[in-house]
Amino acid sequence: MFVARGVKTDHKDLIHDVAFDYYGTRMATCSSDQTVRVWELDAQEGNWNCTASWKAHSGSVWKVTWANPEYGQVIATCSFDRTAAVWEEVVGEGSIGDRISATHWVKRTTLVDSRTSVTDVKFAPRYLGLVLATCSADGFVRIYEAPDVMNLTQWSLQYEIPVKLSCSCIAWNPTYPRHFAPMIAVGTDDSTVDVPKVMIYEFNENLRRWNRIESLKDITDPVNDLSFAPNLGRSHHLLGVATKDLKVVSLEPSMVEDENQVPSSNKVTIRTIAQCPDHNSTVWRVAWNVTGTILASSGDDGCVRLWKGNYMGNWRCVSILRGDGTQANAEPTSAAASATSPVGSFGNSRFMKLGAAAALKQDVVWH
Amino acid sequence: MIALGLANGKVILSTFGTTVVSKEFVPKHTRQVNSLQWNRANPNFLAVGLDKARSDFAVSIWDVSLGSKYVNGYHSDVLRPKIELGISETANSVAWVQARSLLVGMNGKHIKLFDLRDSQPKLSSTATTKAVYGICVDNVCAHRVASFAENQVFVWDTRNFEKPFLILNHSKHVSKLGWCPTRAGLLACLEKDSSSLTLHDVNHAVMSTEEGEPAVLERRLTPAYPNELELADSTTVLSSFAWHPTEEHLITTATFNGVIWSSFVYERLTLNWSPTSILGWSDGKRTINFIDNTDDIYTSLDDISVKMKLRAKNGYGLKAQLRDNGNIVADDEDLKNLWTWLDFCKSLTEKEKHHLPSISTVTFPGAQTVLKMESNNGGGVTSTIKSEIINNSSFDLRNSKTYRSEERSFVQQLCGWSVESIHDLQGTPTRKAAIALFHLKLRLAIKILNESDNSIVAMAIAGFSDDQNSLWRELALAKFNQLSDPYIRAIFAFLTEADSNYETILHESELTVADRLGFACSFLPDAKLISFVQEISNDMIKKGNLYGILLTGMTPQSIPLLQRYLNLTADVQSVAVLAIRTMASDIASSAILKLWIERYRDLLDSWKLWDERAEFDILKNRNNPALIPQPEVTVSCNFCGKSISAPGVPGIGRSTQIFSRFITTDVKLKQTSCCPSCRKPLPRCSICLLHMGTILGSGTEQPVVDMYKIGACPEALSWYTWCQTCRHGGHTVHLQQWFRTQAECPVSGCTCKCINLDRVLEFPS
Repeated sequence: MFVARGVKTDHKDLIHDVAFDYYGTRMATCSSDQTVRVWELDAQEGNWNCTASWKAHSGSVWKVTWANPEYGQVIATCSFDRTAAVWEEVVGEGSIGDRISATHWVKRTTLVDSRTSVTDVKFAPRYLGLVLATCSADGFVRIYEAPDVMNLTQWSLQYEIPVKLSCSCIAWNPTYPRHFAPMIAVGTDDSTVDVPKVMIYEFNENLRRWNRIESLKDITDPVNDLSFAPNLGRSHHLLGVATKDLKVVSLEPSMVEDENQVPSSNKVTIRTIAQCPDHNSTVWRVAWNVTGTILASSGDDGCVRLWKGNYMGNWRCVSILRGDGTQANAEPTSAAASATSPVGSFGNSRFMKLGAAAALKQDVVWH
Repeated sequence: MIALGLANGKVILSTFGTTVVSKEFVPKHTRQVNSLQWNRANPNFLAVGLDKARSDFAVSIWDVSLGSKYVNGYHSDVLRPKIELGISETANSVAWVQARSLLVGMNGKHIKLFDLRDSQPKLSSTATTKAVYGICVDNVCAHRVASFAENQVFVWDTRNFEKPFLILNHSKHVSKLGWCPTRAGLLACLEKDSSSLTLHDVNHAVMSTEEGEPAVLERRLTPAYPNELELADSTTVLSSFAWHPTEEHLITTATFNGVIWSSFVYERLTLNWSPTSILGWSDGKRTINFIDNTDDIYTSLDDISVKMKLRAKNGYGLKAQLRDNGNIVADDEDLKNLWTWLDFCKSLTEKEKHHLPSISTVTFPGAQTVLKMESNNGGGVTSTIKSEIINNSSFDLRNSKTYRSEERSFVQQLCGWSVESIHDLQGTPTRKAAIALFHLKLRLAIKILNESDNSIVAMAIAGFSDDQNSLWRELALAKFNQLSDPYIRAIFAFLTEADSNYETILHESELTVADRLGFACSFLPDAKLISFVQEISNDMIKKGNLYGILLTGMTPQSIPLLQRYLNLTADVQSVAVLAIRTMASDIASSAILKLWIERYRDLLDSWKLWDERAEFDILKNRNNPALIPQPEVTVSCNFCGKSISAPGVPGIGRSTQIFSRFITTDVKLKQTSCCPSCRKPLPRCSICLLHMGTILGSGTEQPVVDMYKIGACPEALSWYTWCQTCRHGGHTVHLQQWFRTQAECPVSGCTCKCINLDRVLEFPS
């Protein structure tokens, strides 16, 4: 039976985020134990070795993210303790034989503008400079910039966008200069009924401000995670949304430039191209592969599911992996069928033996 | 054994299996039992909370191991509670805290904590609150207690019992609470008339003491019933729930109509995907699992990025011969054919360039270019092509009118059609036969069919009759649609065609585009041919079909087609290398091409395929010297400040990147050890103390061995290099030997830790 390679992280509590760097050879993890760990891939062995670990915040660390390597080895974290922080790896004292410990991570700045838990932090695409977006439970998206990339201690709060709903996640559209204006998607975990839960903001170069250009009306359940697919020159953007189920949304900017319009207020055609209820429960995280062709999602059914779109644009679950690293072989439908046989009955009550229930790990459901 | 509290105050012990009441505890006064709880640490003790009764106790604790047998519905002697508490009071709920303390919610006003270690129970602390119901204690963290009243849930810390440290508001009245026994701080809460449970994670609340912000993570759990149960919405209202005491994360829920269902409460998993195809996800605890493209399970995903990386490593798009690039993508028939065709198209165009004005400026023309098709303002397409009409009287086909022009025959050549060499054509015998027939060589077609195992078809064709009303025609028309081979179908369609429209053949989707186009070039009049080409290329663009390149050529017209292909496949690699190999002149004017190229370069960079990226850049800029960056680094003399590169030829490819290229063994470069402007000596190597530019004697140094292992070229070892911080330097080979054992700069008195300053990321092996 297939079992994925597991790495014991030595985190003392739940791991909230895993982030890979630009080259995929370094990894950062963060946890409820308030620490961040940095890992390096051993190219020969394929093992991950922890090279640094430190207490980063005084609360659960929700997210961690890497900056593009052209700005140095820089990560940003955000935490329940209402702050976000930027860390840089620096050369320290140490002998030559001890190359790995010769570096350590230094906190360059603490961003304290939020009055509540900072729920997500993401670096902007590199052509925008060293720019960081955070979102927080008080309903603000904040865009910071380090004007001098040599001095990461100086970050100025450039924009503060009121979303007015408790924000849970944020994603930059990995656009490229001159093609599309910078764009971010913000998700909210607010539980108000029938309110759009994903907002799209676009930067207007002329007015120098972020405008809300769309709200995804299809998504009215609390959103846990968002991810734009890496843009490979497609004519449309793909956004994966983790909510009550998994959704894939396509945003197609109209390429026709209308002379009468303000150049940056491009019309975007939004279409939900996939809705995947297979988790049968709340979806928690989404991640794309580097080409944006396969989407991975994790849900409260304790499984990771991999999704792929075919030529027709139909998205299908191509693989299921359990949290413990094993592959779930049974198709969800057949699993549900075998699970229903009642073991005993008392009057009109149905009981299930524990063993039978344990076999149905996939059927659990969270809302 | 289960204990049941009855409305009349009796507590009955019973077991599963038999319904015999094994024991019965009776209070002195009859009233309702509000709450019952077994002591976990001491399983003989059962605490019972009762309604108010004058001069009786509200809480009684029974030791079930005492007492006598229960015979015939009567006890042989009267049982007495072991401990009794709270005379003339109401106990709304009771809960044990570890072995020897009891929490009691009393009179709707207080929660009292009793210490039962002494024989005489002692009141250790009291909290005044209306939330006296459903007291429960977190087993993982015993000082954490929850209780509720109406729609509020209070969470208490028994060490600081004056006020609750957390109040959770619910929209409906709460009916039951329960701490998860296997995970700290997870409180399940059931509301009235609700079909789901609310789970609160209160771990974080501990820290937020200052302000009254809700610091609780909330989740909702709705049991996922299998479809077979077919529950109506109204019947899924939950009546109760219970955590499994030992099985991790297992919770059992019950509904009012008697469905009992177990659910697992998983920790939330996080996951991410690296650019190098590593997928990592957490297991909800402290382990992260990984799979990557070396795993079988990953292979089944058929990830295009893995394919692209492998192709890039094999030099896809960088091979000098266009055809060779096709061999790298041999697993993709369409791409392979495209590269082969491009190669063919290039050589053909070279040959025919001078005859045909329409292709004189294009390297990779498609049918649209050759036929001089131009879109006019109205959205339609016009062409200035003129063809001569040939009436093939020699052939006994009725519809033997064909068209000819230079352009048409060139397009046919692009399609791989050639009159001379039908036998050399690729494909099945039926294709050969069909093409022979389309060249009006009926006998040849029959011969080809006869030689293959299609002699029956050959026989049928031989019976061809041009008579509109012949039996042959009637039968052929009726039957040929049922044939499976598209070429045989095309043969019959051609032979039975009545009105020279050839719709069946032109829209036979199983024929290749090339064959349909070749056919159209012979048999369609100019206007029809143009509209056919336009129609079919629009269709190809819509499908993102690479065979459409035959129609568009590698010209700006092909961009929409490639865009569609990219949208469908995400194969940015192919479109980027096609762009630099075949559309180099269009790159500057097309933002989309630039975007594709940039994205592919970025991918190569993130895969650390820097060499491939550099080769790609070289090919990209080969025809455009303006794009080659200016020299980026010059070394200037310490004394006069002028560049020490050879004077007169300022900065032509002499010093690039970080290494100042002074190959000391190359005498032709005439390296000097002094500044060409002021004749002052150049800097010295800090190790051998020779001036930069001095010729190193051969064999004076043994180079560092491991440099060879990583494949560095030996010549680079004698380049002059320096530390950017302290600006001391020397010959690369010398410095490497020095820094193998030292961290500090070799210059006396300089404490710069040169070698630690720039950590070079490892090269891919």
